[in-house]
Amino acid sequence: MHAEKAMKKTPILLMLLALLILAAFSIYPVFNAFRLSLFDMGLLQREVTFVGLKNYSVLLSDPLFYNSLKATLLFAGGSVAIQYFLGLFLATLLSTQDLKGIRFFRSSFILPYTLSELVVALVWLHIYDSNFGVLNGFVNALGVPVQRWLFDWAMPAVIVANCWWGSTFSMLLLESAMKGIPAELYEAAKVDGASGLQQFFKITLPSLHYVSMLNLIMITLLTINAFGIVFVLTFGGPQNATDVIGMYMWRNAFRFMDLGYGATLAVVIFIFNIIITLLYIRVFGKETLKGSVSK
Amino acid sequence: MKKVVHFMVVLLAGLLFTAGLFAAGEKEAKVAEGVTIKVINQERWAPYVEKAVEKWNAANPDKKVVLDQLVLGYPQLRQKIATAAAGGMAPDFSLIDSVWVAEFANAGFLMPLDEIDPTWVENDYNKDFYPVFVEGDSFDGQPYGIHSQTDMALIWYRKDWFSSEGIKAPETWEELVRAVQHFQQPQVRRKYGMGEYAFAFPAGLKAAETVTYQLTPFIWSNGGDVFRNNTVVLNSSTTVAAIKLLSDFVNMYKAVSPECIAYEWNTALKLMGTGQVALSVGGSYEGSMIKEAAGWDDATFREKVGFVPIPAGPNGEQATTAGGMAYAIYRQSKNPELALEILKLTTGPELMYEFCASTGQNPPRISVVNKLDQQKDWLLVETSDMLYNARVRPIIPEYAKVSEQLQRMVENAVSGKATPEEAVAEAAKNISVITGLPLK
Repeated sequence: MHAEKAMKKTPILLMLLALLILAAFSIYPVFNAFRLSLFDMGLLQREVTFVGLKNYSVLLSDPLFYNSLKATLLFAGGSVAIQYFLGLFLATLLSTQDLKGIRFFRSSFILPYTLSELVVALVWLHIYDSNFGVLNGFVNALGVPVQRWLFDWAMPAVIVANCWWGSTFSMLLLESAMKGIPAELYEAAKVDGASGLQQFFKITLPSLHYVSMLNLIMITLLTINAFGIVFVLTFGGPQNATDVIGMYMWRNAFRFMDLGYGATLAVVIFIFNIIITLLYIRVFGKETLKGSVSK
Repeated sequence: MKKVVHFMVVLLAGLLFTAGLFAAGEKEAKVAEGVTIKVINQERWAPYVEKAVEKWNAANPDKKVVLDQLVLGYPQLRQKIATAAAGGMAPDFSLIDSVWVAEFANAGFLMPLDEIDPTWVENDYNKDFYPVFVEGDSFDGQPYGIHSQTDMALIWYRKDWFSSEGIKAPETWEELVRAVQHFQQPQVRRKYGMGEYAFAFPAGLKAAETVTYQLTPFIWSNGGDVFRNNTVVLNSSTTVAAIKLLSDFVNMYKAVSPECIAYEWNTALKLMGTGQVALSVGGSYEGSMIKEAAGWDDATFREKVGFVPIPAGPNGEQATTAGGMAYAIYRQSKNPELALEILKLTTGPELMYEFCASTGQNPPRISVVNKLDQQKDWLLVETSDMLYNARVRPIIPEYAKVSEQLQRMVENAVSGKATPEEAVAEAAKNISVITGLPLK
């Protein structure tokens, strides 16, 4: 009887412990960021003044904030679309029966994801360098004039670098979901004369509904919060073309040491993240949350 | 279940007890060895603080110092010392970029050196350091920073190419434009195997502080300035002319790549080192990097590359910026006197000479410059001549924001986003808002 009670309480205790850690490292910083956003304060400022919502009103009239929103939209839009579809494509290839060298391909695709964001950014910085970069060497060998990748193609360049790194995440998530689709469904479809494409659209894709939603939420949030690749490759330039909101927040909070305004931007990013998550849930339908495989 | 809980509690208590014992033991051991001095430093500088502590300990066995030095890269340095000081955990002293001295002093984090040892400040600091550093490391009339090394903004040029073309090193804007235009000619570029553009300088936010450091002398060289008598005087015809000159190199003479607004801090020096340009705006600290990029020995470098300060505009004189890293003592230090003693050794003539000679950085002490070997340290000797006329960037607490405005001003004008007049007016207006100082 005692043991049974203890067994019932254990999960609750363990979850409470997890919640405590989550509260300390995730929930508290969010509240603290909101609190800080109500103050005019800096790391190198002697006085801290309560300013209410002034930082938010400054934000709404800040052209650089709107520019960063535009840049974030382009960066996140491009990155998420490419990462999802590239991940789906690779996952489909890896799920193909009897594919030779599947382990080699899987390891190769996973490799970029094992690198840190900073290393990835530095690798691409060397690839893109217009004077000394590998890409221009390659392009030149094909007879195409050398390109100023981080100047004329700054946004596509950062998106490509981000996708090279991040697509693996989508691939892994989608591939594992594909592995869970019962083989009988495909066998039955084959008996009914369905083509490979029909099987993909009628069985595979609907079965990935739930995982796709999770995947899209995750990669969108990761991209919106991304900072390292842009920081190293373009530093938000040229002419603020890649000045995504994470970069803009970093500049205010840590370069200008303006904690109040930096926290205001952090709160705005947090709100965006929530809105985007809710939008995805709405688009995919609440039923998806229950994990229904296909309708 | 009860057993598991008991086990966890005992394990946790055991861990805490052991950690406590270790911490206490470590603290006791350090107390027994001497007084701990906490330092935040960069890799190249750190060994010289270690040497200073060794020297101190050898000379003062009864007042030994235990060095607790945290070594960071430049990008982390400002954030680390700011968070440490704001959190009440400042080191005894740290390396600090000389342009940060004013903001840290204004925040009350730094201790004025004359409050610790006025005699040393009067007899050594004020007399042996170049006046530009005594001024640049002071805030509100009090000295806070001790320069460890310095460097100057200048124009590197290919001495061998200039000589074979019969062109002299540019001393005025007019001569600079003529030289750049000459080397931009396709047949001249082909002759020397240059790239598409003859001249290079960084002109965008990506190169960050390098832009302010290297290009502000163009404003000074035409008699312009950012501040004068507590007024923002940036928006003047002299500044507009300087910014127009930079913009013209890109847009009118087509001698600088438009990509310069996306250059890294070291792109121009790489272009110079690989022979792709005939001239580049840079800093004296780049000498060894150009040599390395080119694969030259010192003699070849001396034969092929020359340097001049930023040439004089129609309304001014040749100009240069003096930069470099300084040491500063924190108000939170428990042993400021001892910290200063260690710094006197670290930045003293003996260790400063060793540091500057081995790293190729200019010494900020007059006595150390006089000690340099005319042959071996020729670059340091020759560039140090420029120090008497060098200037420092604005000494203001809001420097980081002001500097970004100056970078934006250059980027906007060079990219063609704004005319030089508009770019300068916009920057001046923003700097006035940031600093609260009136516009002229």
